[in-house]
Amino acid sequence: MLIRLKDGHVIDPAHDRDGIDDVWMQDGRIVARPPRGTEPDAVYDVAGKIVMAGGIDIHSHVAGGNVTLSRLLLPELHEGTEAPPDGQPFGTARWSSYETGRLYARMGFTTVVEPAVAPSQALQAHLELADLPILDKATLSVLGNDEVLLGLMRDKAGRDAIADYVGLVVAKSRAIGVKCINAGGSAAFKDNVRTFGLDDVIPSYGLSSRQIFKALQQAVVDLRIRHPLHLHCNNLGVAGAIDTLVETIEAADGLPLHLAHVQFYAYGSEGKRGFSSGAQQLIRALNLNPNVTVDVGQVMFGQTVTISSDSLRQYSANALASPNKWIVWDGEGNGGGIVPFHYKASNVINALQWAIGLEIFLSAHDPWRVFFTTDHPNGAPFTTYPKILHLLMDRDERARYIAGLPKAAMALSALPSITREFTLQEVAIMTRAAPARLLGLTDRGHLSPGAIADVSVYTDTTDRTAMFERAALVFKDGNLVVRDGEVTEYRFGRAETVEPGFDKAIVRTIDGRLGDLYGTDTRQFTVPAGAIGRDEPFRVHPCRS
Amino acid sequence: MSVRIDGEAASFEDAVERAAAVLSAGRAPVVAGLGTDIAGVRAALKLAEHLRAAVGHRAAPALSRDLAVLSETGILFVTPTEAGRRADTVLLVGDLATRAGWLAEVFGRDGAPARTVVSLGASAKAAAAMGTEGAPLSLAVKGVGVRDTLLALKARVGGRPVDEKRLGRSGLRDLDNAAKTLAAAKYGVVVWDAAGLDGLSVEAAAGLVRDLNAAARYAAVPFPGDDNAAGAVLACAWTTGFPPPLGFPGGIATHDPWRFDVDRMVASGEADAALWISAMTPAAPAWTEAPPTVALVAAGTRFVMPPAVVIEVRRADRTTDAVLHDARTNTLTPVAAPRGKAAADALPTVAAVIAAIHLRLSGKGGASC
Ligand SMILES: [Zn+2]
Repeated sequence: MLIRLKDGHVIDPAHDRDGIDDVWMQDGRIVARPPRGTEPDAVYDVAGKIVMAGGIDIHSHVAGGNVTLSRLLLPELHEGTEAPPDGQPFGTARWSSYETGRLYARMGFTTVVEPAVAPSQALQAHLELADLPILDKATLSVLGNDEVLLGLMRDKAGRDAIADYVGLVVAKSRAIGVKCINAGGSAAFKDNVRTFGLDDVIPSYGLSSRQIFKALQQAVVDLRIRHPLHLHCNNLGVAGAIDTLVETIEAADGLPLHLAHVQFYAYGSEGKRGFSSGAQQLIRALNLNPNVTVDVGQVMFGQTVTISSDSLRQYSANALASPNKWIVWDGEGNGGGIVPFHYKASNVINALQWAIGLEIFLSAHDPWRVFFTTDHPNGAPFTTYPKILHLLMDRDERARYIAGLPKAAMALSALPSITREFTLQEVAIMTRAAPARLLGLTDRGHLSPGAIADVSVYTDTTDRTAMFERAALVFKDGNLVVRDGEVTEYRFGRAETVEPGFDKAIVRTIDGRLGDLYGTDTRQFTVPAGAIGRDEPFRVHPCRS
Repeated sequence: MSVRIDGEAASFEDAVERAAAVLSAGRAPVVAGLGTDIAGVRAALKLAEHLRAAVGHRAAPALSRDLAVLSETGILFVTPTEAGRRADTVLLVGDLATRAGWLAEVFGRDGAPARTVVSLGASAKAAAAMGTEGAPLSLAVKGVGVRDTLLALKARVGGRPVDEKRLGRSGLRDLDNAAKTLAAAKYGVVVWDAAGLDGLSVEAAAGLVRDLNAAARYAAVPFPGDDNAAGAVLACAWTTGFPPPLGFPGGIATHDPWRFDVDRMVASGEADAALWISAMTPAAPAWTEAPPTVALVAAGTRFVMPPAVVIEVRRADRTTDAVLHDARTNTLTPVAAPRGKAAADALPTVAAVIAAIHLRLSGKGGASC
């Protein structure tokens, strides 16, 4: 089936395209304009509309153990109000996998990364993702608090053995990369440590956070995994955490490193509340260290729930739980914590968090290195993306928000003085082209021939919230899946994975260690394709050559 | 005889047709038992949404007590694997005799650390499974049950006064001793099985963990339930947002432990059709009076009242590759059927039977989405 999107305003920053043009699709791929006289099977007149590649979210907690615990903790926050349309079972069941796919698709997103999968819960995460319709998905394996890695490091197993182990976990758990969450923090918490900085040491292992994250960073480089180590730093949410963040950036030593939801660390300790914006310090560090990328983790006001594998931090945050109940758990690696939270516009700290996130976006020099996230649902649910894009693109919209926020908070951030407005080109970089590049997914995030035909079409209006809330058309693999902001039919995407090479001899070593520790073996993090219940659930992408 | 309609041998196709007729005739059908693998639960939920049926699990009473604590206060827990490796102090709450095998797997492994066991009503069998030398420190107060002893212990851990008259001087001394022992842990765990406790006890046990964790490290190890109950909870939660018992009034996924209590619905006559699933143990429903029922059961299941349709299915853990909740790792695990067994078993899986019924009802593949 040959499809023509006719006369749209095509924005494809990966190829510097920004103008009126056609996009052609056939058999699930973008194709070149066919020879004159070839009749397409379908033509969509998209004149006056914006055409972009499908959106890609690099960091959103949409599946797995902690996400499902949040469902069980807070049934009262997601009571349903409407029945799903025919042929879309569970599509309106709030907080379900099905609803997540439907709501992402209507905004024009076609790929989402669940960034925090404990290897032992990889099968559950992939099963949940298999029930998330429309989008392709990918997972990051969480390492850095697991007793196996810590044991290898303590026993000086060496750089190759660590890379082999990391490669084994990534391949067997069907991940696309590696995440490290408060390296050593959860292990230290199990030793009854309650705060953990970059150079603090896990009592039972004698290893520092810095040593652990650097070992993993090196392993990812050695394995030629395209997505750099995805790091959640120490001291999340703490006033003065900007120092930890900058030290971590400097510790990267020029090797690739991605830092997650940096808004939650861009906190100085100035002002009478001892809490201020550290955004400008972060921007300076980013400018000096081009090897580092970040995503923002923007805060928006309202009720949400924080979901994190940083069990130490989540435990320490439990006093802030609203409603007042929380879950924290220990596991073989990170464990995690679920703490409901309400960001209030009237609260000086919360208002400042909101401003700091926007300040980071708007002060960053290079949109290719600063990614668009709310750390869903930690800063805000992903459904707030249209509002955030509006704020970034429209200084009057920002002024309207700022006018209603505590002056004490606005005085502590540079945001009110920033006049920059994001262009559609920059939005397309942040939400399409750059994420694909960062993840090593060369088949998407752009609209040149050969790319998978994931395309979003938006109605170009000054009300950017309305524009991005409901895409006019969305194609997934060349199939029309959204029309006028409504999903027209379910299709099920795949999980995008990598299979880094590793020395197979490591399997016996790790089986032995897991056997000694727990009486288990590497099957604990192995996800068989046959267990997922869908045809061809995985697609393998090459590592760096 | 693997397929029966009204007690008589029948073909699979006829049984599916009759099953579809029975279930679609109900105005308030229930999907009960739910003892099946993840594929079976996923299929059952799709059919339940189509039928607007209530969904419950056989382990519902115990499940509901743990889930109530989860949604009312939350919980601080640890995977059994990590507990077995790390815990130097274990408080056993309740009898736990039927969980001795699980306790031995979790705590009784070779090379387990030396640990102190405190027993609050644990049976000798459960205590023996812990693999520690010597008898546990027993906290039995004469004439005071597990729940009240637990509440008193929690009070003493928190430094609050208790009813000294009722507990007696030696009872109080024992409590304070136990409180001191528990507080001295480097990493302590509190183990329970909600099947043997009331709701208040489960809440108190979870609260005790939080209290003890203020200074030492503590976490709970609740038994996750039989028949893949914990797996069913997870699959229901990611599919509908909610654990069972749940229903689909007006097509909207809704959680309500009383309204969708399938046993209550059957006993009161409110349920007028039932799909009973027990593919992990050969168990019939314990209902004394039942609406027209379709039963998907393990071979050898005996019924007090013959259901309208019986289709025997593969044992999820024996003759088919399955995904099940693992009570030791506390996560979903692929379980491969022993080689040859799957091929030798001509029975269908729960997921396949339900998909066939769904297809019959909707004319569309229940399996595709
Ligand atoms: Zn995150």
